[in-house]
Amino acid sequence: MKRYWKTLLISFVSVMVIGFYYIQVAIAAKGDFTFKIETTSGNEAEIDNISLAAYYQRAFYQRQLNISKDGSNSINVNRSQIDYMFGQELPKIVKEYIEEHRQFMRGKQYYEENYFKDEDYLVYAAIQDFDQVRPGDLLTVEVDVLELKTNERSSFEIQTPAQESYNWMGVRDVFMQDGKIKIVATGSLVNSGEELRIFTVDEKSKVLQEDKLIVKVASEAGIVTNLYLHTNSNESLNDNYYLYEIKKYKKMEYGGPSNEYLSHQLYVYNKLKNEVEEIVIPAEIKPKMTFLYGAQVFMPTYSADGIELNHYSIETQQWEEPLHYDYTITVNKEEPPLVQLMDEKLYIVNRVAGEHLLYIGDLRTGESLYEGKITAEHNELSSNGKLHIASVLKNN
Amino acid sequence: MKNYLKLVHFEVNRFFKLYVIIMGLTIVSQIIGVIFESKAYLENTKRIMFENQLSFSEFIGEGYRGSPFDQFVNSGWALLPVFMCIVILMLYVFFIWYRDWFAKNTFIYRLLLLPTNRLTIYFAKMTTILLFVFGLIALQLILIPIELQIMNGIIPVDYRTNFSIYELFYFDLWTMLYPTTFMKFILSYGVGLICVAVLFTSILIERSFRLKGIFFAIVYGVLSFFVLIVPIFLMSLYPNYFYPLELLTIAFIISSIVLGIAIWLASYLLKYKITV
Repeated sequence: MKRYWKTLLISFVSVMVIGFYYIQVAIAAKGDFTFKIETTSGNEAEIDNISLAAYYQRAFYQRQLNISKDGSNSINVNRSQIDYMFGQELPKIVKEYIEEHRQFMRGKQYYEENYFKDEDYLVYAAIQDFDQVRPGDLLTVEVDVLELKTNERSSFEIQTPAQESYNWMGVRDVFMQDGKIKIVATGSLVNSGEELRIFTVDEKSKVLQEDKLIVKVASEAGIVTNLYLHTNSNESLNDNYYLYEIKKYKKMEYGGPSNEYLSHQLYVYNKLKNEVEEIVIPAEIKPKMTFLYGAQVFMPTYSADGIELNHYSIETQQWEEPLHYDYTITVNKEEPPLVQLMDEKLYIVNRVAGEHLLYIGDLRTGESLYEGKITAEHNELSSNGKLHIASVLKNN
Repeated sequence: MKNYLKLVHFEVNRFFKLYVIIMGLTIVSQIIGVIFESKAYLENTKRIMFENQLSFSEFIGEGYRGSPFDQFVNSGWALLPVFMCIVILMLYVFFIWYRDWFAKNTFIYRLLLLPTNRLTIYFAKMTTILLFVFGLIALQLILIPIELQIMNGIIPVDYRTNFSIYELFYFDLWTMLYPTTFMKFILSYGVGLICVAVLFTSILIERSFRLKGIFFAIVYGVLSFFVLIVPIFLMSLYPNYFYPLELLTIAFIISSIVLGIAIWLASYLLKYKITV
């Protein structure tokens, strides 16, 4: 045995050190940066089923975190080829589609907006990648339909009238109406400008029946024009509307938009009626953000008195009495607050004096439900980087 | 088993002196490097404060505080010894066989005449390479915290950003050498093991057929490489067609086939083609 000491030494040291390292890594990955949501007032049960998707930046390292009232767990952001093989983070609904329709989902893009599902059909539409388009080619849309009752599948491609005048075009939503597949797409044009189009495809004849240009915006001299499309992310809410905004900014010297916009137009597209209606924003409302939530449009404004949630009902076509929340927030221009509407509640995460504060309000009554803060736990690692909260997640 | 262990030890013994030398060079280079880079960082910090007329709190406030350990890990002091170890071990994959043929007294004849399965020689050499690789990986794992301690001893805490052990291995090179989970470590080094097996078999093909063998060995090596990267081709040619578990299964099956063929071919060549 003694004569084998060299081999035994290398083997023993390697196993011990590498083993110890991976045990350390496993422990560290769970808890080297620990944050949690701490209640300052209100009902703590409000945060039972939510967590905050966050990024933590320290020097050159970025860590993806999921913070809840019980603490945080971290996810490695730098993904290797092996990570890729182990699987990407997919939207929940796409995961469900993969579980239920494994064969149908093969080879598809995993963006939620490319899919539509009702009792009868699962429809997928994707626009050809621009890497595959040669100048002069017409853009094609790949459509795949699964009839859920018979499990029959039809795949086909349609050519759109769009040519190489586009820098990019992507599917923003897919839905079915009277047996027709509607593909909502936004595209940016080579000579600047953006478009919102709806392609109507007949599922039976597999042909493009209509290419409807909803809106086209072009940048003017000295002005930057942006088009924003809002869709209802929760389809269980009233999903009959799209909201799009056209914002014009003064162009800065280096080409980008200035912070203050010159004009702000708001339009609702009614899917059922195939009509566009303009929403006139009252002069006293100077919103920073716009939200489509079911058949309602919300625009929060902040003042020393609290939060005003301005509220427009698409169905009654009227601005309703704004909701008032007794919660003052200081807006940091460099890091605007995260505002989210979910489950009939208003969620706000705002950074004040290096600390993130969480506020939850009732979207129906304007009542304040919860106030809390995100605290770093136990070590200096958690406190000498920068935490960025990306969204509020609903846990199952 | 006893013969196998004896052979492994024999192979370890033959390379041990050189192995200790490259370990020593790594230790010396990295320890000198961390001291040198720490002092350079501190000098640079003082120079910035002096040139910009900054107080210490202004220096911190302006975001000048950097990560000296990054600077060290990306410097030649840390990287060159690592590359040296990789290159020497890659060369040794060839040398471990060819020295038996070309060294004094053509030692391979004595090895092949041992009363044991000839494939044991193949496995013993492969185990030796793996042991050397893991030994160097372990050495680096021991060195990093020591170097960090030395750096922390030189640079005051307020002048630097601290890191956890998990973050220390985020550098590109380290993530290659130390995959972020043990499972990925096994997968990465499993692929490494297959590559060593293919190279060993290629060497045996060359030894069996000499001049013609070089051509066969290259064809075999290239073919094995392409078969091995089939899952990556599948991923790029048919994005999202295969689900992660399917891709892993394909990769596992393909790797097993490539490794199996390499071992079978080596066994065949050692038994029937390499004669003494």
